[in-house]
Amino acid sequence: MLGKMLKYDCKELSKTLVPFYIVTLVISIFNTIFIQFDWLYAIAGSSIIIVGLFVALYVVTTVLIISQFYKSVLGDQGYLTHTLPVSVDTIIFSKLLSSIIWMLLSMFVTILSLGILFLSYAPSNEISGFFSELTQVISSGFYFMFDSFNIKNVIALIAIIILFIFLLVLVIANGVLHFYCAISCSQIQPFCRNKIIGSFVAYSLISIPLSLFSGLSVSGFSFLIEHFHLVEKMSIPSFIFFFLFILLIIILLLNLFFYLPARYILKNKLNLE
Amino acid sequence: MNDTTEMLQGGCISKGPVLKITNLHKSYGSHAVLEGINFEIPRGQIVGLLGPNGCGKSTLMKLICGLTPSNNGEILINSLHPGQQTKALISYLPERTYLNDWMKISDILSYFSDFYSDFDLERAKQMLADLKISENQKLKKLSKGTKEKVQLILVMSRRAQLYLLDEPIGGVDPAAREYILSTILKNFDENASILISTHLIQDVETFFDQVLFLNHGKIVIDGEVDSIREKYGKSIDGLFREVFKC
Repeated sequence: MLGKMLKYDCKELSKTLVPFYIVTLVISIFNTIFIQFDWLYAIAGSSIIIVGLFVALYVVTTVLIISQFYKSVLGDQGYLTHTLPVSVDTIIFSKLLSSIIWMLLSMFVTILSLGILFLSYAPSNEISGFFSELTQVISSGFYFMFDSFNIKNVIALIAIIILFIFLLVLVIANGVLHFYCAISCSQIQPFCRNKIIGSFVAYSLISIPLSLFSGLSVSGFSFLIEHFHLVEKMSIPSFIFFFLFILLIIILLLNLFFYLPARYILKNKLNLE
Repeated sequence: MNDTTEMLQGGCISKGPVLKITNLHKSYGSHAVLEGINFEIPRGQIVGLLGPNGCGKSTLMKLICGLTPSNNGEILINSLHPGQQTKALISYLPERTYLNDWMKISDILSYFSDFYSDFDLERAKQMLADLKISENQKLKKLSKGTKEKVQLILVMSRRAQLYLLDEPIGGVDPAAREYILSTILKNFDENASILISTHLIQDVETFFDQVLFLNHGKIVIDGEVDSIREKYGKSIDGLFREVFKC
């Protein structure tokens, strides 16, 4: 059922975001053409549009993620969503996964668009120079972390990259779940008096323990490193693993901090208008 | 197929009442909406849920669907408490439009086919064709009345155990109303039951087997239509006007 629901949730956001992506990429390509012909006014105009589009892309993605949850879970469409033979977990996970997918796609389109712009601005000899510089940076980064180039170290690097991507996904999920939790709070007293204002108030109130927890976690982590002299005792790859692992646990806990109240409210305190 | 799977697919038919409600209470804050509701709906019955505005009809349906929790009492659908399993057994038409605006009618048909194993796609397509509604239309662009028709078609195209219809014909023109009512009657089988709330009693009272009069959160009359008519010497519409006289 999760797959089926995810299919419709992704399709809903695609109706707005795919045209947005196409426009962003097309304008980047046009900018490339203007640069080739030195049309200064056109370059200035399209550059402003592109910067605007980058900002709008994240604003629109965030607004769509929030409005999809609000409309289809707690708005009129909630009457259909909550009468489907699926669990509350399926409903939340489907919306969450769809949000993560579209947020990652928005990031990918931004990088792609910047790549197109970069290729158009730089002359071809500078492009090859850039790539050789980039290779050097990567290789010096590799030798900073590992003492030699062997298969074991390459696997360790791949594992670090996978952990980092996993961390990125959890950080995106954290931002989305913060919204979901605040919106779900609009179903209970005292936030349900005005559901939209209630959601904003809940968002701010939730941020207080969140900041406290984040602050305590960072302090605790720093204390751990200093007290046990971890930097001196551990090798660089082990320290990076350790650091990413602790971060993952903290963000997972924060995600549960948002997910569990939202799930409880939707399961036991639902109050559709 | 195990019992749970059968139940999830709406395939398990027990012999008891399709719906049994005992001492049900619901309040919003300090405002009591339902106060000690008790009734049963046997299989194969069309039951009218009648009462003035704000008497708790919609709340009662939402409680049966599991859309809101009760404060006290018990609801049993096919001997199950409201939850994921009972959602597969109930086909619910709320009083408001719940369709996803971004979809076309063809999308919402696929949506229902995907989520409800008892959804009869062919039946839905036939009913849409009878009412001359094209599957390619966007839901956003439909009139309120057409949206209501589409919603009713979706709900009645399921082979559910219990249909809950909250004001199903309120916004529909009289010509379509007749078609819809005959469709409702045609499309449910002898093991299923329908609970209909409506203000248009005259149009539907001939279909009812049983009626429930709900007033100030309590059931004030509950019985078979023929015996009520005999007892009070009035039509259901006439009795409604007398009981709920302003």
